[in-house]
Amino acid sequence: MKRLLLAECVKMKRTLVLALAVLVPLVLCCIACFPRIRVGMYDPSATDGWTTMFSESLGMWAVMIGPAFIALQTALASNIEKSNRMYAQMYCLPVPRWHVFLAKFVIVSGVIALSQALLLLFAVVSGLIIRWLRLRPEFVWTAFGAKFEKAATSSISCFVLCLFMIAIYSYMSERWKNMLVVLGVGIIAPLILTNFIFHRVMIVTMPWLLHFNSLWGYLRNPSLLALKQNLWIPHMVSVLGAIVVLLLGCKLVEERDVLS
Amino acid sequence: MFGNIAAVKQLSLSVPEKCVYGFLGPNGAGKTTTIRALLGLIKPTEGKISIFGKLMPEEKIPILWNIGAIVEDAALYLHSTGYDNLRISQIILKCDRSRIDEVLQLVDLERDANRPVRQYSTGMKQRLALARALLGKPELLILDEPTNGLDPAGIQEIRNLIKAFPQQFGVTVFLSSHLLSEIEQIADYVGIVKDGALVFEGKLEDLKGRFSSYVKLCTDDNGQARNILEKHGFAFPPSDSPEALSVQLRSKEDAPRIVNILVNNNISIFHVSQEARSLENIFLSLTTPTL
Repeated sequence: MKRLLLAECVKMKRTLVLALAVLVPLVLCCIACFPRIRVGMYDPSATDGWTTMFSESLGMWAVMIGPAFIALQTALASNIEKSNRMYAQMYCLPVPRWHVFLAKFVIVSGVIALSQALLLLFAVVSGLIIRWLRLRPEFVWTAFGAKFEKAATSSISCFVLCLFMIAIYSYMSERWKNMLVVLGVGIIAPLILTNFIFHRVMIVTMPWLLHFNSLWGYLRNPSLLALKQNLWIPHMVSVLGAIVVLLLGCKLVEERDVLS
Repeated sequence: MFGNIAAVKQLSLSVPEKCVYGFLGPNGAGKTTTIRALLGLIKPTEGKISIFGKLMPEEKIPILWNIGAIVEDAALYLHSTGYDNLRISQIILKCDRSRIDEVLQLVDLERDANRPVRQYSTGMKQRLALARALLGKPELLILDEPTNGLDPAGIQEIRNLIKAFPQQFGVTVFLSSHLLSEIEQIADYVGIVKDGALVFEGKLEDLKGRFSSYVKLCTDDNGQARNILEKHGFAFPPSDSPEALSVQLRSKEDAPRIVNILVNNNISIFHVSQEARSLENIFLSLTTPTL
């Protein structure tokens, strides 16, 4: 497995997957922190600099980008083995096929985690720039450590809550050769399911809504906060759901005949 | 089985060590299916696959440690460099990193190793795929139509490389092709497959010897003539035409003997001629459906 992970890392060199892992959080941060915060689009009454930076970045990530970006990255990573023939070559190597599938999942998860880490980093850098240029003079930049810790915790939580979704996309990438299937689901499913974001059961069970649970710490609306439930439920659903889907994926790759 | 069609049936191949074995057959004969089954890419509907005395797919991983393969086309990571393509396999095969340079040198790609593979010509890609297949020092190299899509110069390059492998590295090469001319130039042994079944296996010279010299007869009753000659121990290579009966010659005395036997059995002979077949004709007669 360790060998396969290393091999997957070599494969990632010069790929769009890796470029997007850096570019998307950077662009997102630029959009979140400069046009929106500078002109006060987000919350004009907010004066806490660091909280605004982190909540804006993580919120944009979860609401606007997350599911589609994960679908795109999973589809692109899987598409590196462009056709069945590439898989045929891979499966001729003396490693169990399910190791190949799991290695791909781990690498995609790693790339998503990297993007989220970069998002936090870029949010910090953007905050420093806004503070230095005094773009929002009314902002107070205090208690960075505590606020960064809260943002990092939310970010890690968001990543764990995305695992179910990553596993589903990984399975689909393996099942259907055409990457449009994954991309289609990655765009349409969140669009439909976001309508159920205020549903008490859906928000803790649906793979495309789970990551919203990582944002509770930044919500101030009392009617929304009333929906907050014990956070271990969505985390467990995400992890267990991912395990079940990965087991199905392992079964699929082990049993499937590789034809051209 | 693909649907109701058995792609391969009761196929037993004996591949001598350290030689080039040509696996020959027309398109759709079951060559690729056989190779896929040998590599554990597809599972047989019935029966067992045994290779190196081990069962596939039960002992797939130990078997695959001893095999290097090119399945149908080069299948390379086009965005990666030639070196990185080999590095991926080198990591998985746990071989020494210096082995990458060795195989690159062997296929004459050292200077292009750091270029992305998408910039390679088809011949270079094929050579890189060969280098990758050799990386783990396999006992058996399985190459499925490795010269497909190459220009004549590329074909020649690949041929020369493959031909040298058994002596240079002690590797056994199992090479599939639908081109007799290719096999004729590279292989020491040949297996001919038709409709998923083996119709000939042995040395190329044996193939020529067994089927090249024969008499062609036209009689008033070919069926009866065949029965009579069969009792006298004659063999019948596949016939080129339904009106004629072809009888294998073991020596030059056989031709007059055949005529005598038939005349003595009151069979009228309208035509008799001694013929020699080219290897291509032998291949065609073995692999094209008889009417």
